[in-house]
Amino acid sequence: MVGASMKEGFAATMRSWRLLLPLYILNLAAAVIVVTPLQFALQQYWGTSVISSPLRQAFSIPALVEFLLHNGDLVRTLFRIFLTVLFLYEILSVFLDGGILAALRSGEAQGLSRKLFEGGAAYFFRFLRLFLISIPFMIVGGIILGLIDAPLSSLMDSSQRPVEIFLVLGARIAVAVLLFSYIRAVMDYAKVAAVSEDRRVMWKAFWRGLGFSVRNFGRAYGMFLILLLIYLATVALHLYVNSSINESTAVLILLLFIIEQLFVLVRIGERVWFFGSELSLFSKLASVVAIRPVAFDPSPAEPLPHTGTPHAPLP
Amino acid sequence: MRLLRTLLLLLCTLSPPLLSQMKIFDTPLSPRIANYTIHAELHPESETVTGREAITWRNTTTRAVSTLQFHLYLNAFANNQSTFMKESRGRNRGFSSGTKQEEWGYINVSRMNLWTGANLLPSLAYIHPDDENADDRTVAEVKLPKPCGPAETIRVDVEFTSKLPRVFARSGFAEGGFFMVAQWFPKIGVLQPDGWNCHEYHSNSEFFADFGVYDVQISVPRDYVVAANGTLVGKRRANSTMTYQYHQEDVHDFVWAADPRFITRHGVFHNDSTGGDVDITIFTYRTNETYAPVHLDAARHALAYFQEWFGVYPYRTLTIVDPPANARGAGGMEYPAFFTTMTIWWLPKGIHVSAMVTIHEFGHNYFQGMLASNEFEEAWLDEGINSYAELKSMERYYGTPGSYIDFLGLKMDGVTFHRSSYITSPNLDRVVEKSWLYAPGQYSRMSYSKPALLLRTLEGIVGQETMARIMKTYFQEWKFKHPRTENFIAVANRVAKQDLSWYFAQVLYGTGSLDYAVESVRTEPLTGKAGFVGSDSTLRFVDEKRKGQFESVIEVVRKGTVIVPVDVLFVFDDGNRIRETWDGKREWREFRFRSASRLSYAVVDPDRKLVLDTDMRNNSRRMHEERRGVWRVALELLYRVQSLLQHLTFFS
Ligand SMILES: [Zn+2]
Repeated sequence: MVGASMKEGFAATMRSWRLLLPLYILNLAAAVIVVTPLQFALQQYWGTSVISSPLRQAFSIPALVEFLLHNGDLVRTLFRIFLTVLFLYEILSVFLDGGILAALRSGEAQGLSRKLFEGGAAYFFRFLRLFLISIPFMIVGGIILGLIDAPLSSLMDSSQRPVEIFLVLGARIAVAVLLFSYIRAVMDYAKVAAVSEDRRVMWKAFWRGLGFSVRNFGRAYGMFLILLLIYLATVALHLYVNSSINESTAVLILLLFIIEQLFVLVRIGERVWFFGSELSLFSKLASVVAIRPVAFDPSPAEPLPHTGTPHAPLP
Repeated sequence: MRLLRTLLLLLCTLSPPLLSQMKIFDTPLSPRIANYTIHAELHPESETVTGREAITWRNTTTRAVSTLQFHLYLNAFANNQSTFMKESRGRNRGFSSGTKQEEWGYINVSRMNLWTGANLLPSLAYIHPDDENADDRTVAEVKLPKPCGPAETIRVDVEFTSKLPRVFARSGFAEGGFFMVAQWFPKIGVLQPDGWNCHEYHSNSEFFADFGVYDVQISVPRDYVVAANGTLVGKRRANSTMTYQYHQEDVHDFVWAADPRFITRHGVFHNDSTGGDVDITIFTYRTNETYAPVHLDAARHALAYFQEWFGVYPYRTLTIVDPPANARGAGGMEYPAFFTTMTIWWLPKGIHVSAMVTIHEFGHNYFQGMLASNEFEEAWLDEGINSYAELKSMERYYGTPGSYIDFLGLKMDGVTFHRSSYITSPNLDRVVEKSWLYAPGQYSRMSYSKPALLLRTLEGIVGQETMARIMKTYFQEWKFKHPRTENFIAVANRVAKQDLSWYFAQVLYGTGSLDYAVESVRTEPLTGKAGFVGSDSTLRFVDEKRKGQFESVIEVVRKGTVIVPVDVLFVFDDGNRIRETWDGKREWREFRFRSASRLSYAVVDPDRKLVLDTDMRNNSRRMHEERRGVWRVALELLYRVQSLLQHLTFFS
């Protein structure tokens, strides 16, 4: 079932490839906002000096040190801009999550940009609330992590050989990643539930996401981890490709830049694939249990003229 | 009882049969003014060392002296009222002191007699020669019953208990069984013609002592492994303890470390200069095992370089201690024929921190070990000159420009390493300053970074070959003595056959900085005469054109107050290069050239000789802006930011 969902998610991602373009443009635009003032400052500072000559071949620490130490205030300002953009982008991605889910759920291949923004707008405040609801759970997760980590940490201190330390360190990282991934998966399913079942009460959506990922622990979590592994493999491949190209000529610089942009695009696609697969898995497994909220709802005696989107479909 | 104890002490301290036969150097290398025989016992459970010592000391001045002064360094860690703790606020070299009862340390002298039997203890008073801190107990003074005349030798017998603090600054214990027993015994000050030189233990200062011979017996529980800076000449087993006996000659300190977990690795340096080998031993841990060869190899290479550049390393042993992770405050510290290094086992090998620490600390065997300058008063003579030697060693060992860092294509050399510290605040202090009087944060800038850079700059001024002779002569003439800054300058002037005082006055005794800049460049077609020329009846209009001729005008300025002659290079579009020298005495100078080609760029100090220059960016100016380098950097940054933003979407 996981395989089928991933396959369906992949197909949905491919079908909605037009969705990737606005996502990519937003990513690029945010990065340009950060980098352009820095580029301008660097050009001002290095442009007329021969100190910038080695930069054509490789990144030069001596040149960078001169720049950082002689432009402390500017660097601090740029860093603040950077942090602000990071924060805003985080908010933006809450908005985009709603849009991606809405666009994927529509099952259409056209007019996706409009759906992205409409969906984003429709779910933004709900997802923001969900984000806030998730914070205490993140804290609980942090405490659990601390509890698991403490004995591992003391094990690491008493380890005698680097191999042991590496293993324990690996275990610590693995525990943190696994725990965080699970919280992440719960949040994803809460969003999927909110969109699929058009829920407005977000703590209920969160509960639904949690319930879903507890009941279908193996499938929901397993699929998340498989997708995460694919994502990490892409990052690793990217780093490898990056380090193996020595950008010494203008052509190579441009080539590397294009490759980098393709990688960014692929990774954005993988994010969409996450949602596509989760939507699919949710629709396959959740329909069975979805009767329950309906069962508690007193059904109206006769259809009202202005019913909204129906709740979860009956089997 | 007392008689028995005195007799026993005499028996043990004065004529242990092994010691009388032990001799390392046929002729003493140093004046051997302060000689110590010590019996020490480590009590791990109470983190204490109990000891008895006999100090045999000679008055080498021309005046009689009626007091003796002693360093009681461990009292720096007795409480938060000591000068060390007040100055450091409990932080030293990045580490913090503890506050629990067992984390403090002290040294308590329970007996101090002259060999004649006279009890000196009642006259013991704590003094504070450097400040008004009456609570500091790191220097003690005792009165002699009768003055000690010139050339007279006296012996003082002392009993003491040293409670080690938890390691944060050099000495102490760490959980797990590590003991760094340094600055641990009552140590006599240095008597100079103008009196005792015996400073308090300061946060920003190291040490100063006379040379001598050390015979030290150390008793530890049997499972402990001991590292010390002497030659092991014997060991004796008792019920639960093991006693190790060490002998060392012509050093000014004795230090040891102990830990049951120590493992050792050995290396040998074949010393062609002395004909004998230097046994190098590193005391390390299983966790750091893979780094042992890195330290041993760095030490072997440093030995070779220092012998080639400065002179012979005469000791037969070199002991390296690699402290555990919970005692890094003990790491990176030098003692004669012994040093502590640092291993960060997870650090990539391309970041050469471990080798750098080993090379630096080894270098101190020369600069302060054998050239025993006063670290309290002139820290640059040891830290600064040693940083310069370290920089050169790293360049030779790893090659430039990646001598300090060569990782993922990022390369950093020692000059950049020291510049990144120095240029952030170049004018606050002068180099030659008592180390506790520097402005906050200036100690490392003024005693490590600026000296390393000013010596590299001096190398640029006098040439590498002359500089090498200066350093070698300085070492040869001042080894096993107490050189001062004036002595270094005198050697430099004599060897360079020129008076370099103008340079040292600016960079060692002055607070100014050096900064040359190309202020403006201009290049345009040369015009001939134009307009009305001649007079009265001969007045005529001319408009001469000179084809293919250009005039370039370059303004070079001195922005800092430090004046040093500087080379200026002018490069033209046709590849033609012109090099000029400017004395820098005026604040600016204009250069004008007529040539067949336009100017491409101008550079002051094109060979980067004056690394003391606080702003390297303004050292050159192009006619046309260069863009490709910045584009390359910007594109790379762009992608990295994109990537980071992409990762962030997983947190939304
Ligand atoms: Zn040092």
